[in-house]
Amino acid sequence: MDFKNRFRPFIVIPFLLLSIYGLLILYSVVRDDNIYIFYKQLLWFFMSLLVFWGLQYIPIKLIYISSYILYFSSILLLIFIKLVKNLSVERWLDFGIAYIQPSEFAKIALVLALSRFLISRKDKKDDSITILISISIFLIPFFLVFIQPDLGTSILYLILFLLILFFNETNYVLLFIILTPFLSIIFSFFPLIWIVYIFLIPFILYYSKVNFLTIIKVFFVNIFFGGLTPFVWKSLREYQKIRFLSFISTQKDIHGYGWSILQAKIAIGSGGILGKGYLNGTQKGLNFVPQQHTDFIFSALCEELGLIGYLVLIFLFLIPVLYVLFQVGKIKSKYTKLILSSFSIFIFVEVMLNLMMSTGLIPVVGITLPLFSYGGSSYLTTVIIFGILNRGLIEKYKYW
Amino acid sequence: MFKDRIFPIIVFIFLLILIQTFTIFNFQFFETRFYKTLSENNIYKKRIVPAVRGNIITSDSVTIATSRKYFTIYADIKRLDIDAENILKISQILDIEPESLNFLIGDALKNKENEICLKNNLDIKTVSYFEENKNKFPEFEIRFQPKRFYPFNELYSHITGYVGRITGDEYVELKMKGYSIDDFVGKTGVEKFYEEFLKGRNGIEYYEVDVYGNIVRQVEQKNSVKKINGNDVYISVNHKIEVYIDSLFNGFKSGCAVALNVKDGSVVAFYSKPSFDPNIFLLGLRKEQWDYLRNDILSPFLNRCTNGLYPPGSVFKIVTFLSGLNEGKADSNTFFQPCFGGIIIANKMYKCWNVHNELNLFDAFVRSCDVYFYQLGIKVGLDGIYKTAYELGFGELTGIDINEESRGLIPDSKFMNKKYGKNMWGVGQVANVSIGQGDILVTPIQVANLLVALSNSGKFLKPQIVDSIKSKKNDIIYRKKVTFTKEIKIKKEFINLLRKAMYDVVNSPDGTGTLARIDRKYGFLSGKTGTAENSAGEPHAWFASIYTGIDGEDELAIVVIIENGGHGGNDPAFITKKIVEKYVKIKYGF
Repeated sequence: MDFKNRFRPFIVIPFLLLSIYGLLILYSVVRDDNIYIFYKQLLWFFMSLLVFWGLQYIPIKLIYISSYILYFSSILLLIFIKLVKNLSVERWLDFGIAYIQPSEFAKIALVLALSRFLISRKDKKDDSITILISISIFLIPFFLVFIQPDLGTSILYLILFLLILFFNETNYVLLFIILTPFLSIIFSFFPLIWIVYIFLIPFILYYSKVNFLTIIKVFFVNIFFGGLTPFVWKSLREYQKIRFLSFISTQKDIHGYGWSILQAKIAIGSGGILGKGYLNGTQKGLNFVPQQHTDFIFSALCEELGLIGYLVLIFLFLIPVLYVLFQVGKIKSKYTKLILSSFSIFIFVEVMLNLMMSTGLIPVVGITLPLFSYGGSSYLTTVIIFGILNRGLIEKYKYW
Repeated sequence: MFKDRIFPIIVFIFLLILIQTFTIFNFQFFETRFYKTLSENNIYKKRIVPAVRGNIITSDSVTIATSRKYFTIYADIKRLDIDAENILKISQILDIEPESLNFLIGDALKNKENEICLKNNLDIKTVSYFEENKNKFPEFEIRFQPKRFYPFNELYSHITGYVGRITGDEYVELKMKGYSIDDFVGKTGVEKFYEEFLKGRNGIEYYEVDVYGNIVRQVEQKNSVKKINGNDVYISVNHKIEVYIDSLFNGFKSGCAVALNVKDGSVVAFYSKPSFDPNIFLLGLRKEQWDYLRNDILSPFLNRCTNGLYPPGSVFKIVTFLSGLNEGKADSNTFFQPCFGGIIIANKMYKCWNVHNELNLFDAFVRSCDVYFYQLGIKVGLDGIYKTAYELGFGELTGIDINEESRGLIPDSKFMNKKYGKNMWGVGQVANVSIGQGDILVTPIQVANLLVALSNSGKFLKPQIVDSIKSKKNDIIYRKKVTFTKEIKIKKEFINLLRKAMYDVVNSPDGTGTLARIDRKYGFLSGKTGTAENSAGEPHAWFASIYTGIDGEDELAIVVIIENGGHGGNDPAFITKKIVEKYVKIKYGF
């Protein structure tokens, strides 16, 4: 296979451009005080090029076969770091050279395993057993990450889960039913809305021609999860509570987590349409916007490059997503189809969630901006996803 | 089969993009100005460096108003938690009233200030409390800053006046001159009149701050301004004399003394009792203190020398004397009906303070016979007296260089018609006015200024407290100019006759002011006593005099008033003598 056939330009070029774009922004953020961060990330970039290249020699079939193995090993890793109590931040696993976040790689494993399972039951895809096992496959890593606690990543798992079911053509009503307990949890913070919601469910389901017994079950499951929330809330770390609450009122506690959002907004807003110019941002140095090199890197981009910078970013992310979506119909393998469409949308949703977080549209839950935020594990995960996208499209006519 | 899932997800994606783009566009286009301002505030902290106010220094080089460093607490308004509970807590720690704290914060918010000055004179205990609990109060900052200080407390408050926190109206007016919202400005006295010289110009410094608002370093910015300290104001008032006058007034509740140099109109002594401590306005005046001062029956805030309105009593006989001569109604040998301790005018008994029998104009002045002056005044008529009184500077401002000055009141027939109704007043009222009683009010400075004119052959000078103003580099910025304001159009011989009579008041055995007689080798005094009846108890005692020095040249015009002090020939005359003796001692070293 020659070089041209091995790489899809609509995947590889946006990926490379985004990586360079991300490195440039990171350089601007950290160049004054923490330039070593940039060099570390540069190292990750070159390493991930190797990973990307290497992935092109791994057939999707092999990935398919190793889906469950990957899944269980990531579960074991998640349990392992949960057990290593003496680590101050449990999310990170120390591998000597670098810290690895198993929860990042578990994203990929979750998609692979869930897809494999659903493909294996493609004739009974809306069957309750299929759904229940799918939920279990999702819930195990979800729960392990949630108790770490890493709210952002667990939310991403939920999104991945829903995306896979969505692309597996699960019935919309069924998707809705699966979603209801999570909605119940969110609404339970606003008791009045929750009560309205709880009594709205049976009606919605009734008009969706769901049978009576199922309606009753869903109804009680929702009450259970809504009622459980106060208990879960207590189990949250203080910083997570504050993060959540700061979304509700950004005025209070200006130096707490509302501060991050406000500072990010100041950086973005002060940039204007054209931005202050590359390297001319003032709200930097990791001082004004905490975590500006990780979760809030978008604010630095917007300050220096303005709306133009944002539109370029969206455009570059949109190319591979749309390309995959238009090509995915031609793919013969259902498994490849499923993981490719889920991965492509997932990357984009993650990007959008990060931007919404930076602009205060959603709570700050710690979702990184793929290819931009500093952090080896998240960077590598995104690279692997891009690598799989490319590999999947290379062998789109392949049956196996 | 897959197609029906692709389309909805693309719609979903573009919906997300739309929302996100709209949000960012809103920030970067519609609200960008707002965020730009915030971003600048974020990295730069503007800080006003108050200029050190100039000193006020007496002619004998005693500093009577200076600047002293106080611990001042500032709060970062953006970081200050403005709920009732916190306000109460802060007010307790700082020992200020919650209402006034609320008021301060409200004001600062209204003016979009970044920081507010909460209290000026922190005691060392509070300072150390804040320093110890620094991380608990990151929004507060204590600075060691110069603030006004008056070392002599009450002694000079009527000369220096006081400085107080700038008011909203003043701020609007002075903002362009670099004043800040927690600046202090002169409110009265020299502090107000010479505000532009004393103030200097506040500096503006910019500091780079970190995320917690802590200062990282100072930065030069195009808006940085270097502070310029205020200039020193030198006044002609003599500290030794002032202190001496204060001691002379021991035992008297209220009164005033003013001495002008007749050569140039400079104010040598300026004393008003009671007075207030101008320091209290800087150290945070409590409401009770303020009320107490305001409601004090003796009005400590009243500058008696220039704002004190007194009936002149017999001192006014100077005016009646000159108007009689000037209108041609009398000469030195004119006799009227003799004084039997009183006279009946319009069926009413008008008393004299003594039985003088028959006197001519000269002797009547020397012995201060009311009966004679009733008749002279009636003969001249109210409007004649009015005309002469205006000629002699009454009813108008002397133009002294402080703002607290009153015009006084000299009645004419128009005024009387208005007050009593046409033809409802008569010779009785005129008789009263001729001896400085009734509807007539003058200020001590007007009398002193008249005396200056009398010794300058009728030329009025503007009284001036400030002699010169020097910058901190000792450059003279301002020097007093002797200013002639107007000239009395009365024949010199009449004035000379008056001067002779005034001389006799002090130096002849019959005079009323003999207590003011000084040792001949020091020169001599000539003056007029006054005993001004008033509704509030004992009459006010006046003594207005000119001191002629050793070389026979007039030197000082002195007016002393003791409120409810009885006869002017007693205490005021004695005090005047003492003042002059002190003056001579300082000047000639006797």
